[in-house]
Amino acid sequence: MRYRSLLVILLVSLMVSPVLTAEKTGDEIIRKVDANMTFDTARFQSEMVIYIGEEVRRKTFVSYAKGRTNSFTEFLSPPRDKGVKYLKIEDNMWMYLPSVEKIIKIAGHMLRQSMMGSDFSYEDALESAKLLEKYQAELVSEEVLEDSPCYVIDLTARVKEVTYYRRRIWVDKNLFIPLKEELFAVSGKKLKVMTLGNMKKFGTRFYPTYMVMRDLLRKNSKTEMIISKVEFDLKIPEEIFTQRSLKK
Amino acid sequence: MFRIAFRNIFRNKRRSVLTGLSIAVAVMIAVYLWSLIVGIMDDLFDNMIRLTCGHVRILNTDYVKRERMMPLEANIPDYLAVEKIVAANPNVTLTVGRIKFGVLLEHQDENKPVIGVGIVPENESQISHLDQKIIQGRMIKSGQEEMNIGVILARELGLNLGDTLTVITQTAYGSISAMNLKIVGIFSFGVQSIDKITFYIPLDKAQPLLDLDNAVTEIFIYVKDKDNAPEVAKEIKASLDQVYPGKYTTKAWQDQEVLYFYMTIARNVYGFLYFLVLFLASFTILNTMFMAVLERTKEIGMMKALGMKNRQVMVVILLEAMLIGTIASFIGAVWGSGVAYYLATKGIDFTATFEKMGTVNFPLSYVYRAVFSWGIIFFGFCMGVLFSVVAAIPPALRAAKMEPTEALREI
Amino acid sequence: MLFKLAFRNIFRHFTRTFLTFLAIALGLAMLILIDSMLTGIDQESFDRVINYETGHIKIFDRGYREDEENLPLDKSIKDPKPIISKVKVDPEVAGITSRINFRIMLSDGIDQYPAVGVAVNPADDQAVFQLKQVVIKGEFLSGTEEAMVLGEDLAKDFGVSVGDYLTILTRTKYDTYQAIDLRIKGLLKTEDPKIDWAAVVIPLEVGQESLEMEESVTEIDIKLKDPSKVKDFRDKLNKELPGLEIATWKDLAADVVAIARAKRTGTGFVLFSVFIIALIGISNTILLAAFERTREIGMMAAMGMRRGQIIRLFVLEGAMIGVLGSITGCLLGMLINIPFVKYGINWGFVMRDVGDIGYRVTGVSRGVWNISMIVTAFVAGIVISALTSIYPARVAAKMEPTEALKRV
Repeated sequence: MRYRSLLVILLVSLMVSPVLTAEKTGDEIIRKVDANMTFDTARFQSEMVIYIGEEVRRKTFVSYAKGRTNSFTEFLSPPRDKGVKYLKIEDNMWMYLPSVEKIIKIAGHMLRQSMMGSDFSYEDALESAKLLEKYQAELVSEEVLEDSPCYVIDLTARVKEVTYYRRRIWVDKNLFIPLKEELFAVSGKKLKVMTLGNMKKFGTRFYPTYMVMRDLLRKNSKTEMIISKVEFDLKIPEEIFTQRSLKK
Repeated sequence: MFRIAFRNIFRNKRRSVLTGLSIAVAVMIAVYLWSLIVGIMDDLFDNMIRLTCGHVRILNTDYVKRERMMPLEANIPDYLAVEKIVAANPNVTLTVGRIKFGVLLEHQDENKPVIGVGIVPENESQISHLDQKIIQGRMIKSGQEEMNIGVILARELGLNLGDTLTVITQTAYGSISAMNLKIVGIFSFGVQSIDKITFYIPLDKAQPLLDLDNAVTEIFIYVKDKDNAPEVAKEIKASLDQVYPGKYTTKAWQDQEVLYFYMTIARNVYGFLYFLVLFLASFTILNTMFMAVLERTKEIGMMKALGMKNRQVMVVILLEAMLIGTIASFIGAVWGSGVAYYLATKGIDFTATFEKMGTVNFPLSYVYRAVFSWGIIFFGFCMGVLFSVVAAIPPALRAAKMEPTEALREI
Repeated sequence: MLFKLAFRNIFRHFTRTFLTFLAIALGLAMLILIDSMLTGIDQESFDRVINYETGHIKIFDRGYREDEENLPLDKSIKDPKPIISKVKVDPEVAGITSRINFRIMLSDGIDQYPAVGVAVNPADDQAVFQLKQVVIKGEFLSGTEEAMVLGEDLAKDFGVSVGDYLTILTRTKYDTYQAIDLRIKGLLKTEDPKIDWAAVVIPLEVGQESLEMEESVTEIDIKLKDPSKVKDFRDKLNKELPGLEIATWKDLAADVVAIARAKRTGTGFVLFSVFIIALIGISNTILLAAFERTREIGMMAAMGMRRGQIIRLFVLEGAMIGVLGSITGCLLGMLINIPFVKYGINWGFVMRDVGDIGYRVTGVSRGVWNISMIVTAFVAGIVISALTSIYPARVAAKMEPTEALKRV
C-alpha cells in the first residue's frame, strides 16, 4: 500500500516535470546553447564572403579549434591572402604575414579593427568566455524566426569589462542553437547583427554552417561565413597552437 | 657745375658722410629685409607646391571630401590613360602620379602615424628634387623593395641606412598587407612636416602593397605659368569630364584652402611690415637730405653772392644730392646684399626648435633663408637714389630763392 | 640759465629742430606700432589656445599626460568636486571647470571621421573657456540635454547643420562599445583647426553617463586672474595636490609656443632693423645740425662760456627735443594703436574666390598695449637725442673760438 502511494507520487511528479522543464530561465537556455556550441576540438573548412557596396571579396580558409580557448586559421585563397595565418591562445592573438615572414601580435588598437576587411573585428574573433560569465540572461519573449520558434533572451553585462553591453539572442527552441544575435552599445544603439542558419547534423549535434554578420555602422556591408566542411572532436596535435606553427 | 657739386661734397666731409651714412643704412636694411621676407614667402609657397600639391592636382571626386583619411578606395584607376589626356593640354609640362597612404608604425609601444608615398623616382625628383635632398645613401629605384625615409623620422625610430623596415598597412580593400623595405637613402627637405612623418617607396611596389593595380591616389601636374594654374585646372577638368564625367576633380595650388589661407595671411603681414619699414627708411633719407641742404644756407648764400643764378644753385644742390645718394645707395646696396647673401646661404636656423615640436601641418622650412636677388638689390639702390634727389628738392628750392644777404646772415 | 638758452636755441633753428623731432617721433611711433602688431599676432595664437583648448592651468590624474595621445578614460580624476571647491576659493583663480576629452569616430551612418569628444559643463565652462562666444550658428549647450555642438568645418564635411543628427562612436571607460545619437544644436568657428575640424562638444553629464565615468573627469581647467603667474600657481598646486599632475598652458601647447618663438626671432630681427633705422635717422639729424653750429659755438666760447657749459647746453637741447619727440612719437603711436587694439587688422583679405568651400575669411589680429615697449621707446628717444648731442658738442667745443668763428 505504501508503495502504491509512492508510485502515485512518482507518476504525478513525472507528469508535472515536463511542465516545469518547459518554463526555462534565461540562464538555463543559455547554458544549453553554450553546451551545444562547445566542442573539444574541431576542424573547419570555410569561405568568407565580404560585401562592401558593390564589391564582393571571397576568401577561403581552414581553421583548427580547441574548445573556446585556442584556434589556428590559415587562409588558402585568394592568392594575395594565401598563407596568412592567425593564432589565438586564450586572450591573445597573433597574425603571420608570409609576404614579410613576420609574426605580428594583434593588440591594443589593432583589436578594434576589422579582420581582413570583414564585418568581424579581431575582438569579435577573440571572444571566448562563456556568455554567462559576463552576462546576465533573461528570457523576454518568444518569437518565430523563419519558421523556427525561438526564445528571445536579453543578455545584460554583469561585469564592466565587456565589448558589447547588451546582446539579444534568438535561440531555436528545439535545437538550442542561436539563430540570430544582436549586439548593442551602452546607449542601446544596435551595432551588429549576426544571423545563423543552415543547421546541419554532425553526429549528435547540430551546428550552423552559415553565418552572416552585419556591421550596422559600415555603409552597405555584410560578411558571410560559409562552413563547407567540419569535423568535430578529431585529434589535433598540440604544436598547431604554437607560434612556431605560424611560421611553417 | 658738376665740378662745383663735387668739390662741395668733399669740402664738408663730415656732413657728406653723415648724410651718406643715413642713406646707406636705410638702403641696406631695405635690401636685406626684403630679401629675407621674399625668401621666406617664396620658400613657403615653393614647399607647398613642390611637396604637397603641385601646380594642379587631380583627385578622384570621392577622395576630395575625405582627404584627411586618405581613402585608398577613392583612387584614380588606369592612371596612365588619365595622364595621357592631361598631357595633351599644351600648358602642362609634367604629370606625376603618386599614391599617398597612411601607416601606423608601431614603435616602442606607441603607434606612430606616418605617411608613405609611392612615387616614380625620376619623375618625382623633377618636382621635389628628392634626388638632391638625399643626405645619406641614394634615391630609391623603381622595381626595388626599398625606401627613402625622412631624417627626423629615421632618428625617432632609431633607424639607419641599410636597416629594413616592415611596413604593415591596410589595402584599398581592407586586407592586411605588408612589405619589407630596405632603407637605401635618408633625405632632408628642411621641411619639418615632411622630414618627420614621410617615407617614399617606388610606385610599382606601392601598387601591389595596397591592391591598387594601375591606380594612383593623386596626380601632380606642373604647368608653364603657375599663376595661371586655376585656368589650366578648369581646362583639364573639362577634358577629363568628357571621358570620365564627374569622376575627377582638379585643384590648383591656389585652391588649397586652409594652407593657402594661412600663407596669404603671412604674406600680407610681412608685406605690410615691409611697407612700414620702407616708409621709415625713405623718411629717414628724406629727413637727412633735407637737413643737410638746410644747413648749407650760408654756403648757398656765398654761391649766390659769387654770381650763381638761382637755377644754377638748385641744380648744384640736386647734383650733390644725386651724387651722395648714388654713392651711399651703392654702398648700402652692397652691405645689404652682403647680409642677404649671408642670410641666403646660412639663413636663420630653427632646426632645434622645430624638432621638438609636434607635427606642424605647414610646409615650413626650419631654416629661414633670404633670396639673393639682383632685382631686389637694384630696387633698393634705385629707391635710395630717388629719395635722395626727391628729398633735396624742397630745401633746394627754398635755398635757391633766398637772398644772398639773408643766407649769409644765417647762423 | 642754460635752460632758457637751450629753449631759445631750439626755436631759433626751428626747421632743424622740427626735422629732428620728426625723426624721433616717427621712428618711435613706428617702433611701437610694429611691436604692437607683431606681439598682437603672437598673442592671437596664444589666446586661441588658451581660450579654446588649454585655459591657463590644467589638473590631470597622475599618468594621464604620458598617455595623452590615446585620451585614456581610465586615468581620470575620480572625485573632482572637493578639488574644485578647494581651488575655486583661491584669490588668484578667475574661473574653474572640468571636462572629459575622449576619442571618437563621428558618423552620419555612411561615413566615419575621427574626432575628439569634449564633454563640458555648460554651467561653468564659460568661466574658463570661450566656446559659447564662437557659436556662429544655433546655440551653445545648456543643462544636460542630449545635444552636441561641433566645429563648423567638421559639420560641413558631413554636409549637416543645426537640427541634424550625428552619431558619436566611442568606447566607455571599460572599453565597451558606445554609440550616441545627438542632435546638432550649434556650430563653432574658432580659427583653431583643432576645434573647427575635430571637436564635438557635449554636456558633461551626458558624457559621464555615456562613458560610464560616474563622477569622474579627465581634467580640471583653471583660468587665472593674472596670466603671468601661471608657473607660480602651478608650483603651488603641485604642493597642495600631491598625486595629481598640474600643467600650464605653455606645457600643454609647446608647439604653439615653439612656433611663436621661431616667429619672434624673425620679427625681433625686423624690429631691430627698424630700431637701427630710427637710430641712424635721429642721430644723423642731430649730428648734422650740431656740426653746422660751429660758428654759434665759437661765439658762445668767445662770450665766455666754458666747454663744459657748451656741452651741457647741447645735451640739454638734445634732451628737450628728445622729450618733445618722444612724447609726440609715443602719443602718435598710442593713438594709432587704439583702433588697432580695438578693431584689429584683417590680414586675411584674399583677392580671389577660394574654391567651392566658400571659406570664410577672418584672419584678424589685434594690436596689444605693450607698456614696457612704450616706456622703453620714450626713454630711448630722449637718451639717444641727448647722447648724440654730446659728440658734436665736444668736438666743436674743443676748437679755438677764433677757429670756430672762421667756420662757415
